[in-house]
Amino acid sequence: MPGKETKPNRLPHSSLVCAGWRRLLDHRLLPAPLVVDGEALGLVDVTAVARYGIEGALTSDETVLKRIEKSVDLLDEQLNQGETVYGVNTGYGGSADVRCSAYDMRTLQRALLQHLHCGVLPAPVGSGEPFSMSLKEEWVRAAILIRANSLARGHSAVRPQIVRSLLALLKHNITPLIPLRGSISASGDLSPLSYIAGALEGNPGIYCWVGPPHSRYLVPATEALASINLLPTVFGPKEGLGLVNGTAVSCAVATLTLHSIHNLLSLSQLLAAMNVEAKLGTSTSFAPFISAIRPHPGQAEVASTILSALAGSKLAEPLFEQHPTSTHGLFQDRYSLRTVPQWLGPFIEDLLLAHQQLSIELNSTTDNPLLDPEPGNIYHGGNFQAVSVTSAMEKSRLAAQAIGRMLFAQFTELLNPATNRGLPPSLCADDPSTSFTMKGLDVAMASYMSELSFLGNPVHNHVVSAEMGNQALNSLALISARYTDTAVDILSLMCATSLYAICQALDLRAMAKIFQDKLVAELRPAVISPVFKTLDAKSCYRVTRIVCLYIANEMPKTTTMDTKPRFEKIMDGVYGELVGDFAALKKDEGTDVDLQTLVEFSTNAAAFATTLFNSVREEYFVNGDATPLLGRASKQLYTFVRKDLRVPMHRGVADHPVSAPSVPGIPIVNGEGGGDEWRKKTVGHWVSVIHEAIKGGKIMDVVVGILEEGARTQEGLAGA
Amino acid sequence: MKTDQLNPINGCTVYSHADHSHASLVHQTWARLQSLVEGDQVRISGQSLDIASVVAVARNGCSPELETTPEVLDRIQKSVDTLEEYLSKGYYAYGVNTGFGGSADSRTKDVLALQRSLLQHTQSGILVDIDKKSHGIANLDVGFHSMPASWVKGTMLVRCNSVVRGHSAVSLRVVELIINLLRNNCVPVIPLRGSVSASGDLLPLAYIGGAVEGSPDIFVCIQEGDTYKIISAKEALAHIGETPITLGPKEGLGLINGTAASASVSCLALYDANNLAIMTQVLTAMAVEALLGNAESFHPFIAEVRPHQGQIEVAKNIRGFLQGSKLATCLSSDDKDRTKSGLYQDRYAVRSASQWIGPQLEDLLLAHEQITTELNSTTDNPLIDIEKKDVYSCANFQAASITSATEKTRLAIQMLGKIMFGQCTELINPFLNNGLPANLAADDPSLSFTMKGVDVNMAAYMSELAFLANPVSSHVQSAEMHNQAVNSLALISSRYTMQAVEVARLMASCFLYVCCQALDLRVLHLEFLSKLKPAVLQVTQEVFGELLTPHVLDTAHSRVVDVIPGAWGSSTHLDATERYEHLVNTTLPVLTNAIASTTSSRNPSLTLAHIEAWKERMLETVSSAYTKHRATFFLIQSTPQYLGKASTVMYTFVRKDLGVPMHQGLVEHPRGCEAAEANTMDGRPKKTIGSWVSIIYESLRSGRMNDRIMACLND
Repeated sequence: MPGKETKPNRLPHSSLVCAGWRRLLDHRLLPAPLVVDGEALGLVDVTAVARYGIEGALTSDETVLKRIEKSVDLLDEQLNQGETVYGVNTGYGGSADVRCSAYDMRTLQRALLQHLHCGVLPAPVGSGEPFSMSLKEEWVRAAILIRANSLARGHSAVRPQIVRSLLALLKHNITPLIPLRGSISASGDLSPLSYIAGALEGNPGIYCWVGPPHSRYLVPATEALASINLLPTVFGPKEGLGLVNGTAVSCAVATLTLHSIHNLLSLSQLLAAMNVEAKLGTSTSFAPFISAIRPHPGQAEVASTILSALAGSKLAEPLFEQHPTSTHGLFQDRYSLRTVPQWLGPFIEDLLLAHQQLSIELNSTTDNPLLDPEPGNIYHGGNFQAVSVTSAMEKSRLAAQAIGRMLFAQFTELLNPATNRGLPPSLCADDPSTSFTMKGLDVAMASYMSELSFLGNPVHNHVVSAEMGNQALNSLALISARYTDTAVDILSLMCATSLYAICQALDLRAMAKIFQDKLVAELRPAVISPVFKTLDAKSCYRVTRIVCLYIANEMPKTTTMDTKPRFEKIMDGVYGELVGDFAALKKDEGTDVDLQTLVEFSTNAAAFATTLFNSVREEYFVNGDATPLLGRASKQLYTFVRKDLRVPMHRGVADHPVSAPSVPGIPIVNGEGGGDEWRKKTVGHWVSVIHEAIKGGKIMDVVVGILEEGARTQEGLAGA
Repeated sequence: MKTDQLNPINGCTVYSHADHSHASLVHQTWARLQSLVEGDQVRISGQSLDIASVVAVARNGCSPELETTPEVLDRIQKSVDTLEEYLSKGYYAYGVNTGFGGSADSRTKDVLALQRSLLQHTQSGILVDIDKKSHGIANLDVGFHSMPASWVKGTMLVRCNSVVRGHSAVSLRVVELIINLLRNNCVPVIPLRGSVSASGDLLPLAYIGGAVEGSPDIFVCIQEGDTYKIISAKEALAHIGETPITLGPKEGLGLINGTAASASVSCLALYDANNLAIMTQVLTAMAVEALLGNAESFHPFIAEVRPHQGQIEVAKNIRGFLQGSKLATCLSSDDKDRTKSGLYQDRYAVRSASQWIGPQLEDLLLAHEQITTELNSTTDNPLIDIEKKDVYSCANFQAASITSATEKTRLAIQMLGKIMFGQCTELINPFLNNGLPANLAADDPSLSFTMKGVDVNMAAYMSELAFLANPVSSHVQSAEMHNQAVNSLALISSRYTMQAVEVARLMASCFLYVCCQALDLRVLHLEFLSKLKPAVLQVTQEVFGELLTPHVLDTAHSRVVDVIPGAWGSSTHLDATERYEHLVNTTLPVLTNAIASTTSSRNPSLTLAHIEAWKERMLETVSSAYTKHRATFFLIQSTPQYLGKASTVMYTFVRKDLGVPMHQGLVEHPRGCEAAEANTMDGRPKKTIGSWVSIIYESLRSGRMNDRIMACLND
């Protein structure tokens, strides 16, 4: 690690995510082979190779290559002296009580692979895609890279050409088909790795994915090797064992999963900031003072990230002052907003530790036995026990659960008119009696949350004593990593759903503000002055102020009503406010307003407000833009969703892909006609579009941009 | 222990466990499925849907038909009419002219728009690209974020059966359209996740509603032969000559407010779990035989004095499976060795099988009742009472019955997996398996580890299964503006129960493979030992015949023969040549002592050279007898002659029907020493161990094996 930094990094997680994303971009822009030397493999490098097709190349550094050769020589020497070495001339695991002769040592390596090729893959393996029963290709690519890196460290007595063969598989995009289940990650991921070794051996019973990205198909390993002119490998005395006895598969799944959850954790902090704005919450919860007097680093980072994300927002209350339009009664924000730094902070710390654990694991020798070429010793140990990976993954899965929990709480409060500070129920833009826009998502979120909580259960407490009692402790790292991957997948569904709803909420806020502004400007000339003919201009202004203030207060309380009855109710209610004023007016100035005029005002005002509301809405549906109100982060994410992804504001029932029949019973003509037909999609469709951008990483360009900008501002502040 | 009674409340038959054993229920279900597959019709009447019918439609391509008796048709029409009448009086009915769920405080007159709006907000699940792309893959159960087609088909069937009960105001033409989709293999693409199964499975069912509406943004997978095509619902309706339907006042709600998706998935999972429960008992019998275990554990007396129905049944079943076995001991009381040496009782994994599996059968039976009742229930809200012409608001959509059934089922599967794991590890471990070779290797254990990988796999499967057994129902979240503060999570529970089934099937496949190998090796070694006896006698006679009296010779021989099995059995971790030596070295002192103790006076002609000669001859004899016997045995296994009733069926199925051979060891590895080495042996291909297990697994998953398992139940 570069040690130049003098002052402590106050945003360790955020900088990790940003640096990682930059490095990934570099890899993708300049796709040079990644140098594999056993020392410097980063999590992002693994992602680049596994997900973005970057190649790996064994280093040309002579010291590294010599060290590898030396480990092979050392083993030969020891064997020549008649030493017994586990797995080289003994049986395996609980059967290590048998010895084999020098003559049979190569056979022993084949016997090792044979008993490990025991996973279930639907047979016959043909051109079908049985990926529900096999490991994902990206996991396998990552595993190959990680194993190659580990072997390059020269403690495994595996020749350099084997490492090169492994990397050749990556280069030519040949991916062995590996059963999904069957590893307890104790003596490493024996069975899964044996399929990679079997592919190098040219075993015709092992299959590999080949072909271009979108039309992959399976061929026997024999054919796959022939297609790239690679001769089948005959493994030397410890080479089979050296390939299979390691944690590479667990580490691969864990690394890719951690990469994803790092990104989602960053995104979720920005979603929290957007939520504060959508609910007209306060920035105060994120004041530096609060985390300064309870100095957990994770808490401080989250608070700082959110506070800086909120900069410039006209919706969130700034530090130290109440929002001028603050009309809601709740003095403090609810916990789902107010305690975000305290809630997410510890998980930032967990993920940083998980990152460290995996970074070390990536550049470790996870083999047994181990060769120390320098003094020339062979050690028998348990470096294959993948508990570091399990520890990283159990933490990460719990973190996913906690992040999901926060999103769920924020989400349900945002949709519920009792808690969302004046937004319509289920965020519908049209009449709530016949429109339930986000209600389905509300239930879906609860479903995601329940499943995520279930997955939050520990895996690690289900260890059973295995393999004749020899593996009484086994890490279950791969199972833990697989379920963490599922959990992260669900979390990405939740992030997508949240973002979709928040953008809708922000639009509704912006729309409401335009309406409110126009009402204030137009109510007097359009209704008040014409109706209250007896009042002078000054009184008219005062009445307007009273009426507008009242409407502003009542709007949030009447969100469950359809537009027309809503304004009728509000305007009827204005009576109470005006009667006192008119009484005073009569006493002071002798101006009389009769009952009839009051009723006329109410009727006209309701009609005017309804028309205005509808026209503002129509206009907003076409040209609406919430950005003028938004904070730094919201502005960019909102724009990304609305402009880049072209996910529009949801207009309500009008957007249902099945249009209304003119006469009941008459066949419907669907999805044809008008210019805005493209907007008529299922709610699920739009969320899926956002989900794609999150899963595929596209959204990270925006997220990283926001975080980096924030960090620069912070530095500026610190420097000042 | 009463006979069937009628439930005083609903008039349905109440099953009492005593009269309906688990095995007979499972067998009946299987037989019914057979008859449906062979052409019997699945009829939708609202009254008589059973688990076999759901399986038949979901998995076996059977087409359901609506029962078109006047009674059924009349009921459907009346429910629609009753609602219409009710509304015409200006009354409000939930979800017809009010808002939904937590938003039921709103009212509307636009009843048709309301139904569209209902579907609109519930069509909110996430699908990924691959879910919506036509692909030529044969296995539909692979979509990343969508449900397998079989689940959806079951869901469509169950929902139709529910709404034709005439409490839902869903019209005939809607039901007919859904049935027509089913009959034409048109299956809506439904997101996997998103239901809390509280107001029913709203989200999944909304996609079926969308198909009925002919939505251009709902997708339908059409199966034609082996190819699958995904097109919009709008196109799909055109494809089968249907027109989209505008849903009437309660039809959207009537379609989606129900438990059909949970019921469908739970049905399929329970069907599989029930079969696995029988299979576990069969495998237990096989394990008893392979371990030379004791059938006494399953003696009726034991269960009589602790009369839990499940335990009684398991003991009876396993004892039945063992009939005819020459390997299990104590099948009759004459056959009991009352002065047995070695481990006196079998270990818990086999001895307590009836006590372990028994309660699981009881749970599965209750789950069966719960699910069957649910299949023929109205799970809607509000409900139309066509007699009293009233509309009731209620919560029949709360799928806690299904959750209860699937939570039990998943725990039961975990218990089945655990006992398979216990038995399987015992068979593979040479310290526990009563004389079978380490890792069940047929060749030399220093170079062959045959089942060791499977042993580790079983541990991995077991750990995952144990994790999956965690309760789902404890993770309920208050949902939908706290209107759904309790929600059943039945679909999530059903999904993870399916996943548990998947893992348990992997275990059962591995274990069956292991059992067959263990039985072969057991017979191989038993036969070898019995062949060895006369050979040893011959050697002893040759060496000592002229030196000892027949009596002494006889005594010496019988003492030697007595220790041979133990000596042979205790060297299973050694290579063959070392085993010969071990055997001879163990028997040598026995022979020497026997001769010494029975020969009253010194026999001058008897020298150490004779003992040495005996040893040499013995080594040759044992070696040649073993090599010859094993080679013969590899070619033709005589195993079936020794097996009990069930083992015979299963063993023959694996070895003959599936063509999965006995594993001969390292020589089986597809990648030989030389690349040019033949990849076949004995006229069959060499395969990885995983490939052989996969063949067994495939037959289990496709249902083919189940026919054989059911054959084990036949008397």
